[in-house]
Amino acid sequence: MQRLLLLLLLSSSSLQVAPPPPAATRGERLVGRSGSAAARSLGERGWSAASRTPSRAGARVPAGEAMDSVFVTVGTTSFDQLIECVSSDAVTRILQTLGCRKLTLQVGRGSVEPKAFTGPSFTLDVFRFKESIAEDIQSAGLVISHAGAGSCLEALGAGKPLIVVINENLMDNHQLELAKRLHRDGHLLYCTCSTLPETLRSLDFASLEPFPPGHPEKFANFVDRIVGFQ
Amino acid sequence: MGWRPGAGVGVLALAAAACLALRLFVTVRNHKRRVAGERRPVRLLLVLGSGGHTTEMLRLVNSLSPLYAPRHYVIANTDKMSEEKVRIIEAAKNEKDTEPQYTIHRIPRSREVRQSWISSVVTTVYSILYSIPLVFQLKPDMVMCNGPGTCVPLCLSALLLGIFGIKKVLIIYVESICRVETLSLSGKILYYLSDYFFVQWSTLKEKYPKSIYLGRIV
Repeated sequence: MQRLLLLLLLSSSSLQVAPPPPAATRGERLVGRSGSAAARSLGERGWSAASRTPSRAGARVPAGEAMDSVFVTVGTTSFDQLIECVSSDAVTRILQTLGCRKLTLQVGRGSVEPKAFTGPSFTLDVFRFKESIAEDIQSAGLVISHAGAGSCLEALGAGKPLIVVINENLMDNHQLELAKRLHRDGHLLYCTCSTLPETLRSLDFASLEPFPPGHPEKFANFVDRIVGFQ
Repeated sequence: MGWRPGAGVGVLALAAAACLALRLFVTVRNHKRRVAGERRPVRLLLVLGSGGHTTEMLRLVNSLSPLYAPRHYVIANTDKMSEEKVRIIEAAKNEKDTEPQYTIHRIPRSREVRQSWISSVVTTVYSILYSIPLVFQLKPDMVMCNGPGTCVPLCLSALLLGIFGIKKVLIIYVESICRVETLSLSGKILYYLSDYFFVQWSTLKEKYPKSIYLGRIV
């Protein structure tokens, strides 16, 4: 019930920017999701969101936060394909229709480093590494990240909507484990470089589950009992 | 047939190995708990990796009461960022006390990411040679680690303290949140050698029944 209320709230806040999808479809989806565990299986989200919206006329505007600024991060690795894709004309145009006025790329060790520019309606900012990307994440309305666990956790921990783009050349990487699981649990959207435009066009953050913080105090209590402090 | 001296050495070596194995078994099985109500501080040895491992470990450290002191942090010498993070967190912890309750130590990293197996063995031996004097000097009550390569040599050194009967060191291993389906290499080794082995996903708890699952703790 609480979630339903939240959804209604979110959809009404996005009303000012663009018409949200009919309330009925959202309601249905909500029932469908909680109703069948199978629907939670991998691949159901993100992909299916794309297939549910055949209309390509206008991208659905994300509920809640304004998507003024988008942050792309590849962590300490390189992911040229993602940087190329996200800085392409096609994708930057979609981002602008979503309301994005500033795109920041953290390109890591990659060999692709697009030229930064500041235009009247759109700014591209590019850097390789920074001591901390916490600020960039904090000021972003959407984070697009490689599947690295650190980047995923940092974005979700900051409460930011997150799209994880899978590097198909690194399929056996154990780092994917976490991204896949977080996707299965509905905390993030999941796509490849080739499906990124589609995923962006059909963005629906209302379908994302919040990612609550962990409970280190449970660990502390357990250890306290071991050493006799409790 | 005469008694060859080589055989004597062999028997001795075998006996020594058996003693060592028995001692290791006893040390690992001895989950000595302190008496409830104990207020004596717990000397901690904390193994930091880099990046995500450090972030996770520091969250756990932050949740512990000030009774876990002093805190000895061990950082791989190739790691640039962790020391700064430790200083920030310790400065925040140290609002009232004047004496800092922590020290920072560096040892060679035993295994870089994607390092080959053979060279891993060599660098691990190298890092054990650094770990033993450090652990014997610090004599911690408890070692806490979460999977960076350096934690295996340090835990082995801590076990040696127990094997020699100097001190039983509790080894607490917390598998990183990144591990959903499989344990890390350090985890696979320390599953058998640690006293308390925490995992953060139920999928791992099912595969490793001796582990402790309290949900997500970082």
